[in-house]
Amino acid sequence: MAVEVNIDDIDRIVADLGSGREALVPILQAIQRAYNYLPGEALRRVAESTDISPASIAGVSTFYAQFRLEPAGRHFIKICIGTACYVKGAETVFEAFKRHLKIPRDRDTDDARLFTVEKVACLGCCTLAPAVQIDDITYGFVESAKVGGVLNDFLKAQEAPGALAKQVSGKGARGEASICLCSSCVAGGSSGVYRALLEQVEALGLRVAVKNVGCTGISYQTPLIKIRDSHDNQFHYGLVKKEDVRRILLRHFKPVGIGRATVAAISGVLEQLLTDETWEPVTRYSMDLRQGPDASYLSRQKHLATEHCGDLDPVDMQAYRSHDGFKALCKCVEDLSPAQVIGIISESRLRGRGGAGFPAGDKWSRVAESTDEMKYLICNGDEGDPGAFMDRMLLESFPLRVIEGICIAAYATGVEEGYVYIRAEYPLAARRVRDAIKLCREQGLIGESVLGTGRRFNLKVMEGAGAFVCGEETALIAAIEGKRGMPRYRPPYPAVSGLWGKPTLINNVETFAVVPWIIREGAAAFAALGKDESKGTKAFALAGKTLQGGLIEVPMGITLREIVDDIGGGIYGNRTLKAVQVGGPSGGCIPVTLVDTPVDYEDLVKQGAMMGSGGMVVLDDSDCMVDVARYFLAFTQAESCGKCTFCRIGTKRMLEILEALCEGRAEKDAIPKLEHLAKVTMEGSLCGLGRTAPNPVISTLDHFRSEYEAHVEGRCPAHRCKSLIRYYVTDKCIGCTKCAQQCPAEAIEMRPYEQHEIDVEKCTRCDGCRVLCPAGAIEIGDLEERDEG
Amino acid sequence: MTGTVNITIDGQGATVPSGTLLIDACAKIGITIPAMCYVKEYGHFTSCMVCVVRNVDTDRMIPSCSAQVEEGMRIDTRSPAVIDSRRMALELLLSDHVGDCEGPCTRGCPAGLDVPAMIRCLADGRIDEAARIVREGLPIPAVLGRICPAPCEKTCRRAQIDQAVAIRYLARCAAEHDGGKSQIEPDTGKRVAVIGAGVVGLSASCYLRVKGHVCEIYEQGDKPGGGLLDHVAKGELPENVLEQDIDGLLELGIVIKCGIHVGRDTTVSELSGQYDAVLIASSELVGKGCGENVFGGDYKMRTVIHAVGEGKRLANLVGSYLETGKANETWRRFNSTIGRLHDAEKDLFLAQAEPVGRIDPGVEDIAPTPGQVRDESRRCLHCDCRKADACRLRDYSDRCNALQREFKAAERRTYEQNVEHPEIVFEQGKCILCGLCVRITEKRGIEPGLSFVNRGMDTGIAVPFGGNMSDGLGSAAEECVRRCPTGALAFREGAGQEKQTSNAQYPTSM
Repeated sequence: MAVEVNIDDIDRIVADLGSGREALVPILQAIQRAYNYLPGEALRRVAESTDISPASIAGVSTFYAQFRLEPAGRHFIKICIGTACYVKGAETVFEAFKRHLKIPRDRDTDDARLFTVEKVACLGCCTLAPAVQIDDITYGFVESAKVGGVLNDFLKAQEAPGALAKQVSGKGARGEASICLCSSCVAGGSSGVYRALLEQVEALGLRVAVKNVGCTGISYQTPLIKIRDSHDNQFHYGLVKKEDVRRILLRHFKPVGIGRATVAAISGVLEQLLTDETWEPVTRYSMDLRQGPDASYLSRQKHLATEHCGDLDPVDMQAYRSHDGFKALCKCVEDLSPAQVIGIISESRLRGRGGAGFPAGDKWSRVAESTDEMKYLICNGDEGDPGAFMDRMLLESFPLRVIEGICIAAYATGVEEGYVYIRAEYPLAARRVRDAIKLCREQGLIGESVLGTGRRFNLKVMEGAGAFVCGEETALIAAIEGKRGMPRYRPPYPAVSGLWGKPTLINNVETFAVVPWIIREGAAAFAALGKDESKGTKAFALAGKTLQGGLIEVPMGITLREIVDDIGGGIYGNRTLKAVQVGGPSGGCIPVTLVDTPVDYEDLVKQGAMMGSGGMVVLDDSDCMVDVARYFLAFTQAESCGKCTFCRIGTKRMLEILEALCEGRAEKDAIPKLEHLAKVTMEGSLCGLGRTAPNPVISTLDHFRSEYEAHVEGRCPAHRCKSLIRYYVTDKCIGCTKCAQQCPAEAIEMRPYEQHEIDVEKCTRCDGCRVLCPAGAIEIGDLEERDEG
Repeated sequence: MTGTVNITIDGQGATVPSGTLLIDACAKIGITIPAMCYVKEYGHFTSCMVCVVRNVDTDRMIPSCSAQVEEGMRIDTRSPAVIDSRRMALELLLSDHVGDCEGPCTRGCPAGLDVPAMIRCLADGRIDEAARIVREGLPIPAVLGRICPAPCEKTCRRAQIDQAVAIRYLARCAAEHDGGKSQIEPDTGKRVAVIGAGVVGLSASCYLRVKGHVCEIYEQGDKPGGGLLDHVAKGELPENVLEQDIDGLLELGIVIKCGIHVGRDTTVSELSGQYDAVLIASSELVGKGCGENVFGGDYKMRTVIHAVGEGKRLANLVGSYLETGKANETWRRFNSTIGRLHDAEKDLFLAQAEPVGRIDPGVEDIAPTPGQVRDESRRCLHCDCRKADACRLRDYSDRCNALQREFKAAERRTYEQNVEHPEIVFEQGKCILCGLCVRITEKRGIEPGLSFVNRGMDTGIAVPFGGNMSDGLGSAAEECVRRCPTGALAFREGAGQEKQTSNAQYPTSM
């Protein structure tokens, strides 16, 4: 099914985006938006009509994961296999989608070309795991049995587009109802609740402003509505359903045009309901921030980068300014010299939040010292760790604050050109940052004369095209220059020779986001937070097996135990804490015996983990550590750019050994071989990706060696590795046949009122029967184990 | 950048301009660092990681092709840790390398005849060259062309498809050709006495003679040939064929003294005083009178070709003694092997060969026609590496004793070859992704040129938009082949490729 390429369209895209090499990625993105893939004819046309060589186009279009060279279905189903989703069964969900759409193993698109099913590194919705994105709609808590329902819902939503477009104006409003529409909240169902709010406010004729605000980070309660009534009282409702919206609104606001009597009647009903059991479903959703588990969720935190979370409309300049927004920038421009600004940052001892922890002040002064006429600044938002979503949350919820931080850095270092590099999977973040930049330009905060000082500063958004390695700064520079995102040897560091060979300041999103606070409150206030060499706060994406999870911002030095128990509310279900994975694919697993480790750069490294960009996935006793190591290695191996020998081949060989372990076919010397390879890869790789890729393996080998040894013998102690376990039915079976009806592999014969049996050969270990069994009669055992009784 | 920088390399001080790359700084004081992806004219790329050196102060391995000198830097280029790191880089590359260095025929031949090179010459009508390869590889080519048990044919890959190439027949055809005499290296002034004119003695003398040493054979019988005379007596070997080969050896300048019994007419120790070295190639004298310059070996060889192989081993032993004063066993060169071919791979190889069956065995005994020789030689699959002697990957692997299967892949890469270019073969499985060809075509402005495609383990080299390799290489083809550090890009005929190593004894250090 060849797609007709319209040459004029391609020419128009080129005319819009430019014909230099740096325009290549945006051009390819535009072509892919138009055709859902990159038709060869279109690429040839780009080569003909621009200065970009065919070799560059071929190299770049095949490097980034976002680009497809084969036609795709009309809609993309992206199954997140980030850490949190993975440990909650994302692989099974992926298989369920493919099975449902009857897509063969070696293909990704159904026969009707309606859907293309893909895995993605991380959607950044870890608290809603397993998460699935279909085009722009994100679904949370998807189970394999729900796949059909999700697809129906999506197709129905396609028939009624534009439902999100309307917004009630804030003018003359007597109160407001706010809800977050960031990617994870939308995945939790907040767009439906938002629609319901709009509808009900209109239907009831309320003068209530419905606002879309930045995320509170309380992701486990999403959709979360905040009500402010006419007396400025605040109420929070968590886990709200569409059906609840009308009752919640009526509880706080008086409808116009309904007679007094009716209102009284409704109020009466409400009062009655409040004392009645039937009211219970709504009160269950209501949260009081001053008490209960949520109080500790928030009280242990310290919000700097996420200051005023839940109060600010992400792209409302007025609101941001009324909450001290841009005060810091004005202070810099009006009262401080660039050197003084750098002095404050150095004094605060802020370290880069991207992972390595390089002192920000040092980086800034290096760039500032350069007398080069042209210097650049890059805000690194290429967050790609599976299990990390801080950058997404910050960019989606606080784009203005990030920009303010960037502007301050630009002022301090004398940079006139800046880029915000945002990863491909975060379209909403890119949109909001673009909107925010536009607002800043209108207000003279960015542009030819910043705040009328005559200083120039321009800021652009550059969207990534799907390559984890582009988080590495030299690869990031290559990506912006329109090349394959391959790192190069440092030194020279970007601060000396970066983008287009010019001095370039590269900091992470979070680093920029805390800058305004530091300038406003002073270096001493920042340095007072935290511990030893790690000052201030750090944002983490808390996910996995805790009761509560989400974006948290905590003072450095807090222990992992405090995070898991106090903020996370402990472990979910009847499980026990086994380890905390910190730092994603570059980090390591800290076992329960070491959870009193303080969270700071040095202590984490001492325990074999690292800060990384701040992913924190809590693992319980049902998680297999060999499988976790395999999972991370699979990620880094797939993301290796392929440039240097050690990373390209070393990670592959390590992964092969881990796969063999998880499938029970490892050789006897697998563990020493793995250790040897880990060492070699760590020492020899060119960039940070390869140098840290072995960390998850090394740390699990250090702390959970016996699990590796069990795998060599063909056992998985956590009963997680599918090839090493079997499902069986115990005599608790009541013969209800539910398992047999549900089994997608027909491994269970239907035998009403008899004890059922599972055919080990046919069983795909999808876990469906065990979850479904009303009698808890299905258990997991070692493959070799005999049936009970 | 201006000014100079002082650094210490392996304890030796050096002053170089600031901004100098470590690898160039090392070269300046005579230390050659192995490197595959770095060529000065095309800059560094930092991919192969074979050029690592150790920063003594930080104890970190750094790629010397990309790191610049820093004031006071102390560098170690040859400690065991550095060599280990290089070997591991090579072993990782080898774990993803699919190709045979030497063909299975050459590996199967105890004398190590370069069969595919000989066959390529025959297929191309370059008979003189084929004859020279055979004569240099086999001291008694006409004899072997008749009675060699041909272990090469047993290992021939073509046998996996239909029947082996008739290698012995082809070798004989080449040997019976008049041209292509062996080249003798200049006289070394060294003299060797060889006791026994059997296959081992004759072969060893031949190998030593072409190296420029004087060889005199002492034979107690009245005719040279040893065990070969039995074959003549049994009618398996025409007498004139043996004589033809003996004449060839005499032509090289080898002296054969018949009717002299060592032990009666003279002694080993007497010879040892008169000659620079004595080689005992007679089973009767094994273990007798061994002085420092007396060598001997095992003569109970299973077959004639094994005896030739033994002669070659002894010649190398004596040769190294004469050259260096120390006798070294032959270094078995590194050899990458594919192992068994998958069906699709067989088809790929077969696509480059004549699909006809093996020449009728009856034909082997009558005078061959050039057409028959050409047809048979075109049955060869050319599964050897055309750049086996010009490959840095092999050279370095040899030097640091790297093992192909130290880091074994769970599943080996599939063999691929691109023969779109009329003179060049591109084999992705031999590519180490150094990117030199990409940089060369880019710098020389070749359109469409070459590009890296895909990433990670799937990275490869391709012509953009599915173009033809001839267009991709364009006018830079010859340079790309020459610069390619492995056999990934090679001339189809195997000619014109610079040897990477001399025949120096291995292992030398890296």
